[in-house]
Amino acid sequence: MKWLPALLVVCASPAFAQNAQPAFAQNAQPEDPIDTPEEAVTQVGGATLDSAFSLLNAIEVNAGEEGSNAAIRVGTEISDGSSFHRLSLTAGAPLDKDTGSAFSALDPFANGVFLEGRYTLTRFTGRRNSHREAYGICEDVARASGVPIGTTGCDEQYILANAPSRIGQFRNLSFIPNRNVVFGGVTGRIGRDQFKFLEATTGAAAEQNRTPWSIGGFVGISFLELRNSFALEYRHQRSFKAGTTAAVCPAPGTGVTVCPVGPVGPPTEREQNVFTGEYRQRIGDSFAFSIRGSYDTAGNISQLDVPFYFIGDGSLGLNAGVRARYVHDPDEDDLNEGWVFGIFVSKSFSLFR
Amino acid sequence: MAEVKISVEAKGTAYWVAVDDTDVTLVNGRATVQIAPGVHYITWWMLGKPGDSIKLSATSGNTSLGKIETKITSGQDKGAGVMKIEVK
Repeated sequence: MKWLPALLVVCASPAFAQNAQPAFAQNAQPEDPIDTPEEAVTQVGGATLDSAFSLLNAIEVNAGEEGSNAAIRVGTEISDGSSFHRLSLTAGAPLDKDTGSAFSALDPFANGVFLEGRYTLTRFTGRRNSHREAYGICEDVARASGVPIGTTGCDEQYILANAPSRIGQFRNLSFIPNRNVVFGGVTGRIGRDQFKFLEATTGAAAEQNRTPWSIGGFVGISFLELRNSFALEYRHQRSFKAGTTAAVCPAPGTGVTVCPVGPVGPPTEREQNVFTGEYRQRIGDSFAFSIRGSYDTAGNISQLDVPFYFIGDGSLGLNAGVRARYVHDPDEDDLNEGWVFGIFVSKSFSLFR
Repeated sequence: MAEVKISVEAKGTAYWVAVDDTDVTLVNGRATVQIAPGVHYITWWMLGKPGDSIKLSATSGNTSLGKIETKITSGQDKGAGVMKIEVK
């Protein structure tokens, strides 16, 4: 059993700013020059890499669930009718190579740089367009409360602030009850990883570069009213595993000597077919959890990961949490075997991918 | 008819916009539509998580027809709203 250290997050994306501007300033000048990082955070808004409308939104430094990495993402989006398409390209690099390697036996990119292409389709047929009636509610509320429809427009925020008893009526004009969201996508990733090791025969230091890659896809469904989602994922990947750590010493009889210690021999290559099932559930406004089980059919590696999120502020863009992870790996050299418990700070919880 | 440019900046999973009863196809959050003079309604929907935000603006020529910024409310994983515009 192992305990992981707390991980801290530094977000170059402006995750912290969303609540700083509860209402949109009509006269705001987003083109104003940004003089300080704090000002940039305040001006731009947005949090994670979900949407890359600006360079600041596209950059992220994230530590937490799958180790620590920095990534930059660019993408294009098309919204047409009930479907939403997103195509993105992400480049990333680990920030804590040693820590990352301890996190996941099924992640070939924990220790190297990577480039990822991803296409995601989100389909939702639960929209209801009763614009006149919905706007009529806001006009009624404006007359009754004396609060004009402000910078948020006629939306749930306005109704909740000024006539909360009518929120159900407003939502029924906007959404068909009990409709679900389906989502799916394909991903491809290629990486570059440097392995340093000791030659088994001489003990000399050596290094090799390897290129792990993966391709895969996922499908899922979210039951919005129940605030949960299910997803299935398949990934075929080529990963590289460092040699067993040992001391390489000269043959006995040469007296006392210092033996170099490190991975012995070049990394070994392995092909993996990883199937993953995940269940995500939000509990009220302050908690969420997911249960993620993965199995590699090639290496008979299984992993169960259960992070539990404490959502301090739904719009802050960050979550703290505790997690339990169990890894079963028949490879006796794998130090990840067994239970791991830890705390983390990471990107905010979302039902969708 | 007037040419109206619609711009959306959203941080969320997915979003959609309609002008009156017609869905608008947005490419990277932008679209140009032809709208007859008069009062119209631009409706938006978004999926995401509480706090995910959306900015929506409509302009005709150099004239701003309206803009809003709001977010998905606490306890919700979707949001929607309506902006009323008048095209001259």
